Amino acid sequence: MDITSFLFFAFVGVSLLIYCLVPHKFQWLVLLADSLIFYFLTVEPYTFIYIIISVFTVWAAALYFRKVDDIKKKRIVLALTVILNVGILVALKYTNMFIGTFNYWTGKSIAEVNWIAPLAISYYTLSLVSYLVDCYGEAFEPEKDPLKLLLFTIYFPQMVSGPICRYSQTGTQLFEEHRFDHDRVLSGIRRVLWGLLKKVVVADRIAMIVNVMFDYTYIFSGLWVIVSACLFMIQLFFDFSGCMDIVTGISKCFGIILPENFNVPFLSKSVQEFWSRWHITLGAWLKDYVMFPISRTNSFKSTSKKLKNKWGKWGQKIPYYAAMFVVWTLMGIWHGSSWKYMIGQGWFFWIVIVSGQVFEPVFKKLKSRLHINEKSLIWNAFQVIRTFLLVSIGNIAFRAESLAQTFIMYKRAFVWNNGITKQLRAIREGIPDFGGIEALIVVCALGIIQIVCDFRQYAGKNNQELITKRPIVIRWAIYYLSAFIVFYFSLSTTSEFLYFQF
Amino acid sequence: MERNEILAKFNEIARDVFDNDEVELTEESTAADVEEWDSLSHLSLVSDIEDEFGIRFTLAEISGSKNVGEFLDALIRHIEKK
Repeated sequence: MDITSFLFFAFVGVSLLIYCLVPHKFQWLVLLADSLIFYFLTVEPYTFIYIIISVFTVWAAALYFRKVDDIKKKRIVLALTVILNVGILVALKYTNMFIGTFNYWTGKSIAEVNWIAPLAISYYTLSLVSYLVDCYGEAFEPEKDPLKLLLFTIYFPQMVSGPICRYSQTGTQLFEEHRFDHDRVLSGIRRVLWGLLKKVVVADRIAMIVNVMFDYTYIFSGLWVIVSACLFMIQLFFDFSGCMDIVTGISKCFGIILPENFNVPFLSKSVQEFWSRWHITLGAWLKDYVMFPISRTNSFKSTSKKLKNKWGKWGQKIPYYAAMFVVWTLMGIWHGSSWKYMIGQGWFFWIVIVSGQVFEPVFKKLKSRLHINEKSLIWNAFQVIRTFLLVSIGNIAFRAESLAQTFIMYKRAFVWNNGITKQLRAIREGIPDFGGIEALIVVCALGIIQIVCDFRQYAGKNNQELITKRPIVIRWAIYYLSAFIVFYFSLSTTSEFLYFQF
Repeated sequence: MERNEILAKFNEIARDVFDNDEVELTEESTAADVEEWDSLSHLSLVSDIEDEFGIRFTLAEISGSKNVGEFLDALIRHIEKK
């Protein structure tokens, strides 16, 4: 079921009505039924068996931790359950990548498999692993009812593109009483509308331009490669954050607050900061459940100490950089079963972040020689633009068809091209149904609103107040205008959300 | 060991980890107050504090503490448990 379709919103409307009418003890069952309906209407029903295996094993292991005191036994059960669940994810999503790589290096031609993964497997597996590890660490009481853990796993708004939820954040909310609250529902609908504007009006239109630029790389060389990379980054933001706005808004209508996945990423001053503001729940998960556990093992600590004694502070950092390499490899591979993700989404950013830290003393000296005032607006703007360019260049791999095309794009960036007429004509001819000048005006206006909202949010201001503090007539005029723009300017060929594939 | 003594020791370790002698953390300090306090140095800080006091933080304490004060609460809890 497409979450920008009329069917989906009708489904949400009816669900919300039933949810608000039934007694409290049945409310979570309504959400469970909704989630099951959503699942079975969206993907192959038989894939649900994988979810049942995952939920059941995690549920049983978590209860086992509570009953047994033997730490060794607990560790074994934890390891086996994690291996089983991550194993299912790896087998279903990465087998073809392994086969392809094997065939490439050996010259053999083993046939690819045709296994269908359950919906949102890359998201819910991480949620379940976090639940398991938290139960192992006795962060909270394990859930006794397997159906409740099933709801936490397949709660339908998060089954599109996340966010990756923690049981401590959403688990309890799912089972609390939520009566109809006019302000809360309206606030949720506002967020949904804004998300729809971002996705179906802006992202899908930028996608048209980006598609032309990536499909005809021989025309768009030189600086055009950078332009196309930047445009794709903007498209990705409007697409993914638009999707998050829709699902977060829908969830809010039900009274369940999902964790935020974005916090003004484009105003980041470093790549490291960017990744703490972009896809926040994935970065936080990798930090908490991969980086932390690795850095706290005895072998890591002893290696770190040895290297510190040998080479001082720099030596101490080497094991951390190695652990970061594992994290960024996982970050890359999480995005897809292709080497292009491993390199563009993983190792590229690892190299940028680590080299930034290694050469920091050099940069500091350089800044002092050049008398750069780090608090000046120009320096801050430079940092923001530099970060945006770096993440855009890394994300070329995300959009490119393959690793080979990624490298072709990088190579073509160094082919001199000062043309503009041919390129603009190619864009114009490549996208006949953009929607005319009025569509361009609407896209630009929404872009400006996004920039204003970003600066306000960065300054700690509440963007909802931009609407809620207006007189009722203006408020409703904005709602109707937004709904009209969504209907009028949405494209007939709306594309799938870019993060839906995971 | 008194709370202010623990905070003083905490500051000593923090200065060493951040490589900055001017760092003076209070109960209200957060990572945003210290330029050198990023996710990597946070792990070093946690590791050095654990070694110094012979304790082990839980994941929730490492990533859930909102400021130095909350971190100290967790640290004191572990010291008292020993």
